[in-house]
Amino acid sequence: MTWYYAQGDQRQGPISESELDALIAAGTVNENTLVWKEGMANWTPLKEARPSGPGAEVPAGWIKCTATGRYFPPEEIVYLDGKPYSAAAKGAVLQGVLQTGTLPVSETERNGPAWENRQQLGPFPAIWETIRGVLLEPNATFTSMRRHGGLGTPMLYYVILGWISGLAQLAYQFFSHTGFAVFAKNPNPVLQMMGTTTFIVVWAVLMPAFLILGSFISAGILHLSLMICQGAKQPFETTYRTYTYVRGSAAALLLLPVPLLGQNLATGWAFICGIWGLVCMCIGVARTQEITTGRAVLAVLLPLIVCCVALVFLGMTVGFAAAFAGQAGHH
Amino acid sequence: MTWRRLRPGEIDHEAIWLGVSLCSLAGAWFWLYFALPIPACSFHQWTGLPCPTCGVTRCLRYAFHRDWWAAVGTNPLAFLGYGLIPLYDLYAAVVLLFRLPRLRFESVSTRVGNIIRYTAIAAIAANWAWLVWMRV
Repeated sequence: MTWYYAQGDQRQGPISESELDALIAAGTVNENTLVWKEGMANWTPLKEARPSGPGAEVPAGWIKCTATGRYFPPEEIVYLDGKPYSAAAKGAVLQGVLQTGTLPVSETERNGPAWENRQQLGPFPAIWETIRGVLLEPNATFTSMRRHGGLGTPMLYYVILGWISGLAQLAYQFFSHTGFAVFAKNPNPVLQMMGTTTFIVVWAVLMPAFLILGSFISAGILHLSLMICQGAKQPFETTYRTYTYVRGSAAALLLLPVPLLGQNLATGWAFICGIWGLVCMCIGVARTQEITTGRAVLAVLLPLIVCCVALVFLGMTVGFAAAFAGQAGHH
Repeated sequence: MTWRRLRPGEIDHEAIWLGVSLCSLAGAWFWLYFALPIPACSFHQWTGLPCPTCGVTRCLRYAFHRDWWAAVGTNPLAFLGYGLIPLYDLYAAVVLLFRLPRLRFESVSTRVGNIIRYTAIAAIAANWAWLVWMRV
């Protein structure tokens, strides 16, 4: 049985069943890739053309390969780190171990983080589990993160947490009377007339739009950086999903009432949150793009090296104060 | 490089980046019009030298005032970027409006990829050298 698969508008193949398995294990073909074989009327996504899940006819005793998601007879299976892998996944397993030090996981096993399953878990437990997973167990969380499935779900997570965190920062700024002096001194009469309170309300309402805009720009810069570092093994969608889950979770850290303990502690806490966010971002990018941690670190830090403005954007993400307390500067 | 229609469920990059660039333009205009504070360059403060992105705001400000030569001199790479964005926006608006096939780079060879990669790095480095030389 020979298969053909679509790569862009190009038809690739013919390839054998085992070669198709190897391509699935390597990530070249995924469950949504259009495939065709003789006898099929149309090109169909792999998951429908060759189902390997519970709905398919699987001979008794066959074991599911962790990398390809397909079932194989026991004699074709080896166990690595307690997980079953088929011979077809040999290339992907070796590459994964050599490059990232981890064993590959099939797309079907990538169903996290918890926010992706909020219908089953409920929104609040899903948010809590996602924050906990991303910040405390980033390796496991991003190894099982869905790399496809649209931008809306992770964007919603990021906007919810970013907005709540931003409003908390805004409230702190307002009640501690810091950070807004710049508007009183602003030469523009419109701003002076608006006053601080009006501006806060307008800013609070517009914040989700700025968060969404910022998320696309920042994730886009991160993806460009990955391309320069030869680390963009997955499309922009994967980078965006990783970025928003990390940034949303890091924003949640700022909800802790540290600012109430004093300005210096608040600044220190924002710095710690920023650094930990970077660490989680490096781990997340390495696990979702399946590249070495060193390459992921280079890609994450490259925008900070090339563009020190990105440092300021990072500060804006972790603390509203950083953006408004700054003086008119060199840029 | 191929021209093809979007597949079901595929991300519409043209719509996303057209929206992002237009919103960014509106935001930049708002920021500059109301003379809101612009964060200082930490690199410049620490070293006395411009960083690779120093001058991007001034470049935009000059461009808004149609002072093209001043804009180019302030940050040539940023000026080039600002020039390419309207071209991309025009392309995106046309393909979205008339539901035309989209431009996609499905399989870039390693050689071409490396040429683009090293050209980008060289352009950033050359631009930075210009900024340092001109004391932007």
